[in-house]
Amino acid sequence: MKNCMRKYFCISVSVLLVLTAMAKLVAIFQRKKFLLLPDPVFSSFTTRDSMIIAVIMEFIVAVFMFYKRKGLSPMVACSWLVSIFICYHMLARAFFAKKPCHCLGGVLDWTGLPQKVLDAIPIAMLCYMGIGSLVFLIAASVVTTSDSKIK
Amino acid sequence: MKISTVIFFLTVTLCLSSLALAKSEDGLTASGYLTVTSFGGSGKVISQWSSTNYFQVSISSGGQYLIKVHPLNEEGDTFYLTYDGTDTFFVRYREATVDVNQKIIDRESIEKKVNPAYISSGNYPFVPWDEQKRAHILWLVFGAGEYLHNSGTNTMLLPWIPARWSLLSYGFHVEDKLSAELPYIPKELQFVRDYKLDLASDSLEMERPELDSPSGDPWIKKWKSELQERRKNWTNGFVAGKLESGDFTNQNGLSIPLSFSFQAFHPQWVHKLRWKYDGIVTNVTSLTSGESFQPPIISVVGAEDSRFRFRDANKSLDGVNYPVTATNSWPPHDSLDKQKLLQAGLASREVSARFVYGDVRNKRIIIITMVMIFALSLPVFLFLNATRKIKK
Repeated sequence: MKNCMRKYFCISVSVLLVLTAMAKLVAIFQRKKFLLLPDPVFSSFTTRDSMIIAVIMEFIVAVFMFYKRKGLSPMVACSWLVSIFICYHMLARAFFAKKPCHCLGGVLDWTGLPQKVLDAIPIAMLCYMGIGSLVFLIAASVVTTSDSKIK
Repeated sequence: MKISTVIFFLTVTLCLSSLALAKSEDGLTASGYLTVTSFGGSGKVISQWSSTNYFQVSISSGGQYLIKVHPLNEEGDTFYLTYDGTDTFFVRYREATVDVNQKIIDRESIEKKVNPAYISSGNYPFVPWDEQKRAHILWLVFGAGEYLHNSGTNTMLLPWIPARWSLLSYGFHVEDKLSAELPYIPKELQFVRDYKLDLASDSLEMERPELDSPSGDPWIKKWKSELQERRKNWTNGFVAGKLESGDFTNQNGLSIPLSFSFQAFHPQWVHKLRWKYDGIVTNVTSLTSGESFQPPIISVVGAEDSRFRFRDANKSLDGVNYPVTATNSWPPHDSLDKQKLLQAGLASREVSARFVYGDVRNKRIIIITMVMIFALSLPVFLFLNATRKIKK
């Protein structure tokens, strides 16, 4: 049962990561204006550079999670990715980066949703991925059943 | 007619003409009206930021000037902006106290209040506190030509955005057509956005010598936001302001326009137009003798003097503050008293906000790095723990 849930969690995270990576790619191919701005945290990079790095990371983790969905190691990869994104958000906040965040490449701008809601979507996704992966890791660490597959 | 009578008449004529010559110096005084129209983002006129003003500008052939602005709807108010050949002085004599929306919240006679003044080195007016930028625009018309001609520069901070407080004032070059005669008043002048004038990093931008030190995090936040706005919305080649002067007249060797118009643009405004200034000169006379190119001290003035400004690796001070009265007058730029005031100001502060920010920044980086190390190691620890349990 637990392995089944883990499998579905891995698949759902893979799908989410592919979608967010695609959203960023769309923005890159559309050559949106904000891409030329310096990255709010690493000002030696442009926003485009940091988005490309994020796309690569998201694709790698998505593929890894999909293929290793029965094991526990995808949870480590997922929580690492979430940690990196959260620390990036913390740095952006600490260094007064101007909102909105372009995590989704602005692909949802057409929806007309309030900016607050649009800003909350990537945070909600990070919470889902981060809390989910940690819960599975803690569960595996505290209660290990015979059907657990590690690798 | 006797020879003695002829000599007498000749002497009288000579004396009279020399008196007349002594009365007028090389220079002129022009007066007229300046209309200010302020536009909101939707293109609507903002009446509380718009006005009609009487102005008087005295210019000497030596490049000194005195600009006096008197808003017609504010009886007792007068603004002075002057350049004495070395420094720029600004004083605001204003009866009304207004809030951020220019709504009058109190009124007090000028004689009873301390009136703010700002002094800076050189001909460029770093003048805060004139919300409608009237003095700045009159300087742009009558004083900027001399500044551009003498400095040989083709860059200028936007005079209608306070360069001491805002990073939106930076990153523009000037395209001008100056008059060939003194005081080289621009016939045409444009402020053009130029990416090449942006500095390599945010911290270098915030270290610009003309900019005041930040007094805390809100300033850093404001400047970060302005930098992003400048890079994003103020695109290369955008014309931020445009001056046109016409109907030039010549008096005492100085050529000045009888009409002028200035428009300031904002890239995000619907019709782009942010400010519109229209001016006409109705009277031109010779400069009267003994004209002072420092503002008159009508009442007690609280001066902020940015001539006494200091920066080094550890400390910075944006200026010294002191009162000016009719008895002690404006201090010279090498005043020993004010130097002492600067030293006392520096001694009283440990490290200025600009550099405190550096420490705050480092602390934040350390905290976030620790959070990251913890966040990266926790899943590994849990994973290894789970593996160990399975093996057991």
